[in-house]
Amino acid sequence: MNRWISKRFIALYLAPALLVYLAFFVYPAIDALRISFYEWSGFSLGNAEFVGLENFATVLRDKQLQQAAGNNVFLLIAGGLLTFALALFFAAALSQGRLRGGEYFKATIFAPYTISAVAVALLWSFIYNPQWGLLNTTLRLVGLDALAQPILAFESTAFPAVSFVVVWHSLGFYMILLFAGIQAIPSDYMDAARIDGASEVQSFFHVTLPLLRDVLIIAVLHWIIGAIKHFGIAYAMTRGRPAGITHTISTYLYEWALPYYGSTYRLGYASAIAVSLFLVVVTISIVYLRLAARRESIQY
Amino acid sequence: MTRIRRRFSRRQFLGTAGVLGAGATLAACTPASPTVAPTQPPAATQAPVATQPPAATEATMPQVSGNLEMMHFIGEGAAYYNFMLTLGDEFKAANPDLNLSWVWGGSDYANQFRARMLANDPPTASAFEENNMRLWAAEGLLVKLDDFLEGSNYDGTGRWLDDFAESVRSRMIMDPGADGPGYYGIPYETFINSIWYNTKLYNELGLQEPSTWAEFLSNCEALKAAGYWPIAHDGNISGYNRRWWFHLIGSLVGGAKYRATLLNEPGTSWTGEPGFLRAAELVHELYEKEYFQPGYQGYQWPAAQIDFATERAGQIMMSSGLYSEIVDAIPEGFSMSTFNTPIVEGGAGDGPNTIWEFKFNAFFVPTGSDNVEAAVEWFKYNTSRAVQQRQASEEGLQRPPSVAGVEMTPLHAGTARMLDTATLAWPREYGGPQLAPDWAKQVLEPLYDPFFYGQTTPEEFINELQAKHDEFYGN
Repeated sequence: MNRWISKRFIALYLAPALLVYLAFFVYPAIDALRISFYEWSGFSLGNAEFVGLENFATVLRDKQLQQAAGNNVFLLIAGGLLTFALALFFAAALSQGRLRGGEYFKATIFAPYTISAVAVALLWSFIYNPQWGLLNTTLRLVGLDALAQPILAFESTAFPAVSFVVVWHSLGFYMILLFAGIQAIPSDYMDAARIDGASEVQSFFHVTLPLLRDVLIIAVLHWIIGAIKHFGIAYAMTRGRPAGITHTISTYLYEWALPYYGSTYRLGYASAIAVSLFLVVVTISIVYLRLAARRESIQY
Repeated sequence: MTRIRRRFSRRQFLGTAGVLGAGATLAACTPASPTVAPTQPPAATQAPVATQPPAATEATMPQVSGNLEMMHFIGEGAAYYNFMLTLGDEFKAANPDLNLSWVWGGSDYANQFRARMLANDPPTASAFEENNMRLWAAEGLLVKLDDFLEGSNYDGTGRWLDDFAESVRSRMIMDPGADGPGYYGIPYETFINSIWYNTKLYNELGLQEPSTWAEFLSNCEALKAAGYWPIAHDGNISGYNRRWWFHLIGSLVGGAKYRATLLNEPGTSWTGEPGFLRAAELVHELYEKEYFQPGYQGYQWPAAQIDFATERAGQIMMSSGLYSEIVDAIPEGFSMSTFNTPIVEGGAGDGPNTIWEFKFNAFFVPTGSDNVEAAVEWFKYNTSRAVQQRQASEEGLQRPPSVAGVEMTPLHAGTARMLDTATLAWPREYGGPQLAPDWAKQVLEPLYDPFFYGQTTPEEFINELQAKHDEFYGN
């Protein structure tokens, strides 16, 4: 009886959150799936035309979408490697506690994460300006004129430049996450390693990193999901321009749903891309978690 | 349904009669325009119109009441924002029983409007740019306003429809429309994309406004020789980049032929019409001769506008709204004017009296609006000649009007001249993005920017365009 009452109480307390979740996540997600079977501008309920799987067929052969997906993969891998290399480095260095001004560095590295993506995009648009932007001006000042290029114009540099801003923006978050993980490792392990004659580098790779695994798994999963569905900085900075070379999947689908410089609205096709993206994210997340799962948990 | 009440006191009658009498006298003294094109208004050649709020004419204005929720596509703080607020206050003062409220959409406007329409909770009235409105008119989202336009204008001096400039009227009819072809929007401002130049630099160098492409290139050369960047250009906006090619296509090939080729009509091809390649070669020449500012390819809007405003560059291709966008950046003594993109001599396309890229922003009543009468009266007020005159001349705004007979400031002398003489006004890219949106996105867009940046030659661009075009249509 008590157990039954207890369950009812749990259900009662969960109900508001569950309702919000159903209304604002589950229902729109299911509706997006329904819309993806229609050719529809999204403005008037009476003008939707059922096209079956045609939108999904278009998803498979859309070359611009493939390019956008390639950018997501670039951000995922190259951006991820850079982010985690730097985040681990700073987290490890700052957790030593021996660095003068450590708190200052921590705050400085974390600060960009507190700025909105739109403000960051605007700031870096100015930095990247070919004529009077900070980057090219500095390059010219130090005699590297040849490197002072319109970085956001060309395929070889445009999306890497956008990716760098994404890394710059999110680095602080991952650094703090890993820093907290390192702080949680009991000092006994490090002391034992030191007594055994391990160097700082050896301690990091053989003690810190393995014990940080659970935090890293979550952090990397967070990065994977964020990179695959990245929207904010890429959209605010370039809106896919020029010629669609800086689109991510999310900015590309948004351009079909709500074009910035046009008047063609294809919410059905945009929904088909969104549904496909959702399936990709779920699949990758499941595969990643299965691969990364450890049989035993760490308990300090 | 809102009841329209008419209040017309003796004093108001006398005031109105006085204004009408003065207007008639003024009109009689105004010399006729010597070169009025058959389809254009004599915009710059008319006598000045009063620039104050039309206090006296309020006498003829029907009173409206109830709620009027105005959802505007501009964002708070935009150039037009304060002007709109002022007009709103005036309109409210003239209609004390009206409850006017605002929703400022900004860049999220279409999303907000979509949500309101789907929720069956439309705003009373709204405003957007014409290309989007055409789509919405076809989908049945807009109320057809033909009957209202047949009625009296705000001042009560004539048929409302007759107030609009001929160039605007020719584009006002939206076809297809859910209720048949007709007037689904009320234009309140117009835009021409043309080449703006720094008049001080032009005067210093003894340059004249060019009427041919060769003269334009000569001016570019003179500016470059004097140490200025001939053209400022935000190369990161693909639509801006394409303008150069499209404007040149206009005089070399003609907008109609472009449309036919785009739609893959029999007997058309990109490689078979030499004008397309010639236009590309002329655009490429701008790149080769380094007439754009260095690094233009990576310029993010509005960076190039700042280069123009700060007198580092002598010219820029931009819309009629340029001034209001750079007004905070221009130094004292800065002045600018504009000319239509010059024609290429010997071209087989549209003639010099063509506006290559023209559009208007318009008010509209969404289907299901709860107070159509108030909305229409509000639109009438906004398109009254006095308000349009203020819009055209107000410091910091100076937007070209939609109605005829409004005098534009010296800033817009070129705009007025174009409107005066134009016999043809094309929409952006000759309507291509609306006619074949998938083609524009999948065929032209990926090819054009690399060409514009100098990464591919004109020949490569045209050949690749033909190949992708054939692939798209399965030719």
